[in-house]
Amino acid sequence: MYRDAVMKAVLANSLLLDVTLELTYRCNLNCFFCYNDRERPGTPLSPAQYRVLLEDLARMQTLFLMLTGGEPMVHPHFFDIGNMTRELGFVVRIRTNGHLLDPRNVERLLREVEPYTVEVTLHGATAEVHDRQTRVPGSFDRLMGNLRQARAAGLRCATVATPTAWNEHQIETMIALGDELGAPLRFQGPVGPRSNGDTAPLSIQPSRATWDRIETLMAERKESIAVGPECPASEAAPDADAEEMASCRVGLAGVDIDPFGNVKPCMHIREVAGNLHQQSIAEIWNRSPLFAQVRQRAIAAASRWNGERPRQFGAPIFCLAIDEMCGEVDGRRVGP
Amino acid sequence: MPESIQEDKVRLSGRVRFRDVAGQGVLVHLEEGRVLVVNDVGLYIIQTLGRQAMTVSELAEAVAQAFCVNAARAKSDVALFLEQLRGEKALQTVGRPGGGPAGG
Repeated sequence: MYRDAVMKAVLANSLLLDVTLELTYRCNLNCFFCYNDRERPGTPLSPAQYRVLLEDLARMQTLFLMLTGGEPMVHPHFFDIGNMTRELGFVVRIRTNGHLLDPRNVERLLREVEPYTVEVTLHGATAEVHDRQTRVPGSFDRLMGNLRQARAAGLRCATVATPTAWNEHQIETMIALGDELGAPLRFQGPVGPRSNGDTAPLSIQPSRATWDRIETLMAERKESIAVGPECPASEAAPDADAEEMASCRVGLAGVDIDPFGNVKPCMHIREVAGNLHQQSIAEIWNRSPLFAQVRQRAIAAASRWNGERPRQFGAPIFCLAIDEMCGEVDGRRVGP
Repeated sequence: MPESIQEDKVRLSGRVRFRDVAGQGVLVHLEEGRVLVVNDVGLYIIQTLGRQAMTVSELAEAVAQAFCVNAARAKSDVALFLEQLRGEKALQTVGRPGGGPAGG
């Protein structure tokens, strides 16, 4: 019903249904494969600018918001912005590493933000593996404690993992851990290059066999396998199915807004449609040709697959950004 | 229709978010995780109950005026729709016009 009735109307009317807010590139962990370039310069949006943005989005009938980063909870005005999203009636997901989900912050989240869900990144089923990826000793134990008390306090949580060569031997135990915590696990990926072009993270891609195993395991659980590097348009809709999530939907009904007000078709696409220091979100969404251009590039790129299901670095997805940055699909270099 | 629904003032639950998506109402219940899609009349009711608490009679009168429909038919349809919303835990009872006890 949702996809048939609503998505048709969204697309026909060029509505901006979901928005990802990268609140900051700062982070309190130091994950080896993080795609963010923490040195990127820019003038952060102020709380007053976030207020204007969110009021504009509410008028535009945007429903889904994702607050992410970096680590969104280290933003000095995280709760002010979260409070605005609640007042303005958005369905909010928070993507966090969970390091700051202490009892006081959980209580504030429940009272001030009322998120639909909090998605916490899980890097492994043991401290050895998790902390190797985060490069912060003790981060696993802290996360486990935080997640348990957050669930006990009534916060709806989920876990998200990116399969890597370092954790692929723990796929089953990570799924079991998510279940035990009451925070079901889903997978995203593949590992992509950093936004500054650094390809070092690619050195820890998991095997294709791991992706096959994940698909089988998730199919057995009859849950969606949410692969793809954080495509908000596909993830935000609660009833989007696995097939849709496997497709790059860039340029359709969602945008990414970085900490400096740059509005992009997705967080992995480097081109900017406009900047909120100069224009309103409505002006950018309604006037920038970039969204349609990127959509056409995605369609043209996908046409190479002749109807077959593409894979990138073994993962069963097609991501335009990864395609254009790496030119790698299905083990072959096909792009620039 | 249940008597309590007729007499109680109800409003949209604070745990529900909604938007007008090209004339259709899209509701998401934060706890239940379900998405509901309603037509333009349903959207009008949801928007109204998002602003203020009303009884079935008050709401039916507003719907009848807004959509130029028969008042009796409007009351019947509104009561049915509110029952559906209540089944989805999308409503909260805030009190009765005469000051009676409020329920959940």
